Amino acid sequence: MKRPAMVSGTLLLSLLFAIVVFGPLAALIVAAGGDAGSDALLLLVPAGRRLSLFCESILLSGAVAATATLVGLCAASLLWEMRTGPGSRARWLLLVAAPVPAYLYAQAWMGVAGSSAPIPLWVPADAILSAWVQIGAFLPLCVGLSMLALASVPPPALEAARTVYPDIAVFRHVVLPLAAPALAACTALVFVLSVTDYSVPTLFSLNVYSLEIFAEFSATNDPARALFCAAPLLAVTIAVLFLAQGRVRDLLGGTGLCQRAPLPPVYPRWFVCLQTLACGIVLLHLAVLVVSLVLAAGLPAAVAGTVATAGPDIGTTFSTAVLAALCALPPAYGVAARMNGKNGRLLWLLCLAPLAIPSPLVGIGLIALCNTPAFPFLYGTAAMPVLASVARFAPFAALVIHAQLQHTDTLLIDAVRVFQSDPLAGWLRVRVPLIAPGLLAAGGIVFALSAGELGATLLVIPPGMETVTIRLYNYLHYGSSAAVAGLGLVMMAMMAAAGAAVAAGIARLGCRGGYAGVGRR
Amino acid sequence: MTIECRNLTKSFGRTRAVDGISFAADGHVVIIGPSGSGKTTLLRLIAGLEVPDAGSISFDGTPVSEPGWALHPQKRRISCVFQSPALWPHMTVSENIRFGMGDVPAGQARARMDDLMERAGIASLADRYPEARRASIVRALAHPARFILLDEPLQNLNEELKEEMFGLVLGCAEKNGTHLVYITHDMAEAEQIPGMVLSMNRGKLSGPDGGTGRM
Repeated sequence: MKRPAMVSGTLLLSLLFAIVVFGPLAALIVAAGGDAGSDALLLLVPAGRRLSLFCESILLSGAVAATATLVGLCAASLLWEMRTGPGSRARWLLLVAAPVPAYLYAQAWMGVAGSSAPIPLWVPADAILSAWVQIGAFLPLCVGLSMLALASVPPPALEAARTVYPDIAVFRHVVLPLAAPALAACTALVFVLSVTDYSVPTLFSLNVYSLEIFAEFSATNDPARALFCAAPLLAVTIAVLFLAQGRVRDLLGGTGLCQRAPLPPVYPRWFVCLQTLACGIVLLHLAVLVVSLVLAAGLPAAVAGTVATAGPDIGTTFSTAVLAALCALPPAYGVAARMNGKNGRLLWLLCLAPLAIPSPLVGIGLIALCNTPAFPFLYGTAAMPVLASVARFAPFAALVIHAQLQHTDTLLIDAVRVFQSDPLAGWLRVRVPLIAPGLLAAGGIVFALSAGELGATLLVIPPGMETVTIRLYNYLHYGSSAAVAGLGLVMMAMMAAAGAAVAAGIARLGCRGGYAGVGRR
Repeated sequence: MTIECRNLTKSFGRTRAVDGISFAADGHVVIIGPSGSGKTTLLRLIAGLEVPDAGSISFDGTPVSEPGWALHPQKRRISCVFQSPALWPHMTVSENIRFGMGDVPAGQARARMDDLMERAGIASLADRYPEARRASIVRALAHPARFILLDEPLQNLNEELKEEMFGLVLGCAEKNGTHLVYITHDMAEAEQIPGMVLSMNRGKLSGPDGGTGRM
């Protein structure tokens, strides 16, 4: 009985992942290689205005990432203590808000600023308002990641220290050092997300480097110039993610989600004030987001009217996001399943690298891909925004599915390999149910991010089509209005549904232990 | 039904977990040895859950594992009791056992399952370790296998349960003509299983007769 000639399914899916995720960038590089003029090469090294813009963008995103992580950690340290009672579930509700796009926060805060003054008097500069809004938008993500970081601290290490030191000393000398790698990963992720996003800064009339890429392509229609313009930013984001990749792996591999609740720690008053203040900031951002949009949207009848008017856009957004989620999951699974095998480190880098690519570059790359003889039929079709979303967000799905696989007992998979009557039955009855929380979370994340995607979609959306995000973004430049708020509420409802799926998945991600029938409860 | 291993070798990084093991057995095989001696890796190689680096395994003269290739575990007609119960938590005990029985006709499967569950004294929900451990043994016994591979199946059970389950395992194997490959630390258990005893240490067979002996 000889080995049948067969290629592993996960290998094929990994190849598909590489093509879909890196195809646009590869096409862009090929196009740039052919067209590179000497003046385009000058864009590689920013100088003058571009250099100062580059430095300001890095500083702004660094400040946003550090502040959001700090506030997130303080809030998470309070929420993490709620491991029994209704609070234990309620804290995961924060994840529902995590996928809400940052521009909705911007819209809400613009509403708070009021129609009489576009920027409140107490805010000294556009940069601070932009940073404040970005911090608010990233806080749910930071709180969630900080809770994962705290979960990575082994309970025996805590308990051993608590027998000798007061709780605040335990927090400083045991919890923080052990959670530090995961917190560093959180900061790195938020930095990359912030520095590649231009939607919020531009709404506050603040120019940032990521907008420069979009502007360069819009002005010249030259993919090479866009790529060279993006190169310095790419270098920074790739370097940050490269340094953080080990930490991200630790963060996703943590196993403490279902730790038993210890005795609540007793912290000094100043630290409790700090925790309460951090939770207050998180709640303030969420309250402003919801209340401002609800008030601006007006009566339910007005919202219904807005929804009816934007019906086709909502349909386009929903179908694009659903298709992107469905298309992203199989290749993401293929990569995730191979991350612990040979070349696992390479696959980790392959998953993290796309997160460093600014969104306009993905759109420009897709256009370049369609200019090659292989894919001209894709240009101007509804598949383009779907492909853009898959290219941008399949790596997120791969990371979440990998975390699920890390939490799945390998003996359960061994058992199904022995006992299954045929592979399909093994997949449908055992493997898929075992990783269902991860698939749900990954699908929810891709759905939510795709629905809110702007940078790439703006470039590749076919004529006559529009997503809610694009419509909102266009409207927002003319100021906040009832129609915009109504659409914002629609977006928030979509995000909340996806966020609920993500929260449900992540809350159960590490909790599938126990024995037979326990999972039915 | 024979198992034959020839010069079987498996390494993980620099650690050689199984190092050139050869034996041929036509009956039960008991594997004993200290922790970390390679017993579980040998069992996993026989199950097809690991691919050997060198050497081969054949069942009844048919090769099932060679360097770089292993016949899928599902096609080997084996069943396993793993070190942990490894019951699928989204299924009840009955569903776990039924799923493990594969293509056995429904009526026949039901009767066999009810009989084994009654004899093992287990219900449909396995909340605690002893119930889960017994359920995992029943799942392996219910499967229409020619070899049952058991990795310390009775560990952490009390003496009474151990005795009951051990009797059930030996009784079923005898009734169905199934051969056991049985890992244990317990010499008393090893002595009660008629067949070949492999004594392992640091990945190799050790002791008199090259580590193989007959009880």
